[in-house]
Amino acid sequence: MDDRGFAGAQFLAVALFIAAAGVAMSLYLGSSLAYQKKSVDAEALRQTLERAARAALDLMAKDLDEEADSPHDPVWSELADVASRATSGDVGGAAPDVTLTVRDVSSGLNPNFVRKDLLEKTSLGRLMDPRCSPQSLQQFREDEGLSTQGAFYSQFFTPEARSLVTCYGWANLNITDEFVLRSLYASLTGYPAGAEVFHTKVQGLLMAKRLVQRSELASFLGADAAALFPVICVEPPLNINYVDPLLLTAILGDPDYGLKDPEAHAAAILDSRAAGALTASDIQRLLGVQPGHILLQYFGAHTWFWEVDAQAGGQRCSLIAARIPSLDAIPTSTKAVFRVVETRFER
Amino acid sequence: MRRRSRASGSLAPMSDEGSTLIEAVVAVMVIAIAGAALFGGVGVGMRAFEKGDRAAHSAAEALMIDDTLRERSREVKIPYWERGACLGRDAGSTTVFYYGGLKKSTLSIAEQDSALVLDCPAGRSAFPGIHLISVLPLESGGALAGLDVSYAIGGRRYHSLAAFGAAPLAPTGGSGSGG
Repeated sequence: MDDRGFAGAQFLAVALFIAAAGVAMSLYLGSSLAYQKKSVDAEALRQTLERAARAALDLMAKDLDEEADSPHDPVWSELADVASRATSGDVGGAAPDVTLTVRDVSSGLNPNFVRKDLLEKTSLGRLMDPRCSPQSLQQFREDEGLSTQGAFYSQFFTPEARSLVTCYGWANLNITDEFVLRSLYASLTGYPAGAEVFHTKVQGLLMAKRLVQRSELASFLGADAAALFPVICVEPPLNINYVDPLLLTAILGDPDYGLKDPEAHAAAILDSRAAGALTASDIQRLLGVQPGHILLQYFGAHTWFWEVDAQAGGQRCSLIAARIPSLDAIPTSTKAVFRVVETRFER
Repeated sequence: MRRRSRASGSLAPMSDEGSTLIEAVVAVMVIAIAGAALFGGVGVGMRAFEKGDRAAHSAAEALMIDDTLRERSREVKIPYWERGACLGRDAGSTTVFYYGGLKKSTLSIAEQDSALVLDCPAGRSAFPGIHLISVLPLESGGALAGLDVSYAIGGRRYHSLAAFGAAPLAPTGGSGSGG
């Protein structure tokens, strides 16, 4: 047999073996790399979305109207530009088509803090599931604690009412349930005995029917002010420019608050806010109440918790940002300062 | 190839048979050397492949553990007002409260039967052959914000930093600015 032919066959066999091994290796590495690439791409998009959402928050901190947050604020028209600026050049050099949306998530009925009286005396009681009562909600909070997740309280409300319910907000000392304030004190300071003392102070306010004004807050909170504020404060939780008409009418209709013809007042407010942003002084004027009235503890002109949502490529990043109020009796600056308290990703 | 004849001094053709034998011996030797080199090379290649395969396998497993840890930690949503103890330790197991935002719902991380085990209401994930080294709290402004988990796969040490979906607000003295 020709030796050259034999050597060629051997060489061919070895080359075939090496080629087969190479193909097997590349297939194996290919599948590993594909998993890695998928993971890296998803992480890159996640980071892009978070960056876009944070850019929106920066814009809001810089440009939100200082007197009132409302749908009329020109800042909202800049969101699309913010999304494209924040994401240009990301993810393989191409800017993903990010959609940014921002919504108020604190101008609702907060089951963490609501007093049972308000549910018993106003039409808000109709939002509750017929099998539950304001008393059972209060007991549930005592037994299970509080939560930022709406689903935690879903059993207490009718399906139609759930869009009006929010678990985000600051606890206004003057309108929050006294037992919740005690529980918040313990969570914020880690000092249960101090919580009992604080509870007694709050009961004193309730019995005297006295409201703590902003100028008195720091002294009322005392040495624990740094720990308690801003979670416990005297900021009105509901932004008049965003609050649902049903909530607005129900709260204005609380017989204890003595407002005559609450429906007419609610209608006037809704008409006015359709025309332009309402400020704190507008609210007082439209309600025809004196400064220090309890209704001004419910309704203000600022939104305290926003949800900033960025979406692209089937992924979604949502930030819940809290606006930090000022503890100063007369705030030196009305510029918004935000802190992200929750981050959610969905894909 | 030709050689000079001693008798006549003329050139005569060389024997083809001798030539074939030498060429065949040389060819066989070359093939043998090439084969030995190839065999050695393939051996070295295989060992390198196995080593690379082990490293790739460890890295893929670490990536999977990292993904799972981050995913599970993102579901831990400690309310912004909660500054109490949200982290518990018991016999090599670390438990975090507020999984899904519910105080009594937990995520636990432990080493059980030579496996890293993550247990939460969403399910139980076990990673066999993983040695859990430590679970440390990650803090932001003095508040618990996530977990720093160290583990070993085949002697290699890996590290996952997993942030919670929601974390408590730092006291106002330590609160930062926007974003």
